[in-house]
Order: sequence, then C-alpha cells, then structure tokens
Amino acid sequence: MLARSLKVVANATRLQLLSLLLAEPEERATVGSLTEGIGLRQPTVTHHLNLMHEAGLLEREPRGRQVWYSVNPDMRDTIVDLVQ
Amino acid sequence: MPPRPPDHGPPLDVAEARRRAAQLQSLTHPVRLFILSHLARQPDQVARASDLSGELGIPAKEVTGHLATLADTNLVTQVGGGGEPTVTLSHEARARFRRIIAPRLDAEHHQPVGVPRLEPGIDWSRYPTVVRRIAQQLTQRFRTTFSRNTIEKYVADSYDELASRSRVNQHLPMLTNRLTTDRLSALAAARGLRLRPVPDVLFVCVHNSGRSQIASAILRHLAGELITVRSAGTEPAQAVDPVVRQALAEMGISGFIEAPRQLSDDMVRAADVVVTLGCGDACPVIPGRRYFDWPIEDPAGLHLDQVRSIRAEIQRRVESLLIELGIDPPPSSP
Repeated sequence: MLARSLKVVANATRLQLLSLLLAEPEERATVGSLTEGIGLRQPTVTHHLNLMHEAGLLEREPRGRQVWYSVNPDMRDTIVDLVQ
Repeated sequence: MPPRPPDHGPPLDVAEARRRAAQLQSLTHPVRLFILSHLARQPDQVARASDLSGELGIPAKEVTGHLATLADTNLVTQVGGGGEPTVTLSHEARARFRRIIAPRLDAEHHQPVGVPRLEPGIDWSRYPTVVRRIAQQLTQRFRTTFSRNTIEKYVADSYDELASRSRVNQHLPMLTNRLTTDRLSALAAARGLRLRPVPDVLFVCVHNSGRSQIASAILRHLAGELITVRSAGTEPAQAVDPVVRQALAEMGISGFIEAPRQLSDDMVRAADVVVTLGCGDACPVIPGRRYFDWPIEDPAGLHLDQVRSIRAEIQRRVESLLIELGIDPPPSSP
C-alpha cells in the first residue's frame, strides 16, 4: 500500500466506510446505502468516498443514475486485514 | 477490542474504528514502520532497543520513544522483564498489518504485495539529488539481479512513500536506501532469486598513480562485472606513472587505467572493502567496513623489471582477495 493510500485510510470514518462496503453483497455499495449504514450526512460520506477514490483505494462505476463504489481489487486483501 | 470474524461480520463501531485509525497513524512514521519491518524479518520477531538503534543508526533514546508509541497503539508488545526494552510484534500487528509492514509474495502478480508495479522512466527532477545518487548506488550494487529500471522505480517509490509520511527529513536518505533494499530482496525471493550485492572494492594509495592503479586494473581484469572497483589517492598525482603504464600494457590491461583521483569520504562510505597500499592513517575509517593493508613498495622512480615484480606481488594479493570475496574469476582469465 502506498503512502498516500495509507494516510487516507488512517481515519476512523473512512475505515468504517470501508468495513461497511466490504460487508455489502458483492462488496459494492452506493452513497445512499453507505450514508444509511454509517449515520452521517450524505455530503460528508461523498467527501470521504471521493478522497478514497482519488487515493486509489476505491473504484467507482456509474450505473444509470447511481454510482457504485467498490474496493480497488489490488488493495482488497490489505484493506480486509485492516477492517476485520 | 473484539476481533471480528473474517469478512461480513458486523461493521466497525466508532470506538474500534478510532483505535485502528490511531494504529495506522502510528505506523505511518517512517522510523516506526522500519522498526516493525525489522521485527517482522527477525526469525523470532524479537529485538532489543539497542539492536534497533544500531540497525537504524538512530540514538537509543529516540528508538525507546518510538517503541513506547508502538506499544501504546498495541503494535508491539514488551517481552521479558526489566533491563533494556525488548519488543516483539503484537499479535494484532501480525494479523492486521502484515501486508503493509512485511510485503509478501502475491501469487497472482509474482510480486510482493504493497510493492508498486513496474513502469519505466522516472522523472528525477521531482527528487532531491541524494535520491538519485541512492538509485545509482543501488543500481551498481544489484545490477547482476535487477535492471536499472526496476531499481530506479523502487527507489523512487520508496522515497515517495517515506517522504509523504515523514515530517522530519533527517533520516530519509538512509531509510530510502534500506526500504528499497528490503523490497528488492523481497522481490528477488519472490522470483526465486537471491539478492547478491556486487561488492564495491576501493584501493587507496598516496598518489593514485602506481600501486592502486595496478591493483584496480588487475581486479577489473579478473572480476569484470562481478565487482565494482575504484581507486583513489590521498594526494593524487597529475598523471599515472609511465613505467606503471608500461607494465600494465604488457599484460594488455592498460585500458583499465584511470586518471588519479582524490579520495573522498563518499567513496569510502560506498565501499564494502577498502584496501590501503601504503597510505596508512590518511584513509578515513568508517565502522563496519572491511579493511586490508597491503605493504607494497612504491613503484615511483623504479625500473621496469622492479615494477614487474611489484605487479606480480599485487596480482597475487588481488587473487587472494577474490577468493576471500567468494568470487570465481571467469575461466578465460590468466
């Protein structure tokens, strides 16, 4: 894991989001379902997801009107270790 | 601190997420990351503060401070009682951060996890000169195992990683060197290779115009690419002694002669083996290097046949040095 990703992941809210994401079916989720799961405001969740996407931790896939987030497969095992 | 079952357990609660974020922050300090990596590499995963201090070249007091931070975040545990702090990786560090602190073979890519994929071309203008110099040194050192591209890429990535985590730049070059070397040995192991550094031998005499030139020419001739050979003088002459040049030309190796150079601390620091040929105390001493002192007569002003016998004496010693270094000269050598 590169330094930038490591720094980004060293944050409680983002670790929680990653753990929620990995608990979803097929390990994918939308902003809506993550917002519900973590109990924070949607702009806050979007902000954290964007940061993790920029750091290469998350991949995003627009589908229709929704955007689905998933963990970058190259880093999945490392991240699973961190949130288990 | 309830460990959750693998995958799909309940998500992290706030308190646990905070605790883990604090662990990650503790781990992002380069010195602490090094302590953890070092522990992970030890057969019993145990180290004393003084070992770590020596290994990292950092005062024991500073190491003790880092160990306390690591213990507070449950990344290391104290072992034994009393006396000097002795630590081991915590169970949690082993379970949770192993992929970060001790990159292992990733079966799919045949590369250690956590190590970047290779792409050629580094924009060196983004880096301090010292980083580029580290890349050059390591390229010299590991050229028989890895390509220059690979080594440069690893140096640049290791530096990026350390620099972005560190607020203090003091130890960065040394840490970059070590992290890169660690990762290259992991990569070599993953490919079933042994990372065999190319030894760096430095010959030193007073003028770098006679004895050290003969020794370095003969060693270059015998060892070729298997050894990095340098020579220097404490008071370099203007040019190489003409009779010495003639004696080397007889062996067909005058092409290895180089212009006399001033000895520098850097050259000594880069060398694994330093051989002095009569310069004695003028040569700087760095702990941990291997030193040999060959009492060889100065060929300056001597006749060709006298220089030939000096050449023969140096050749005999160079051949023993090769055996000492465990290097077989190519069979075509005389």
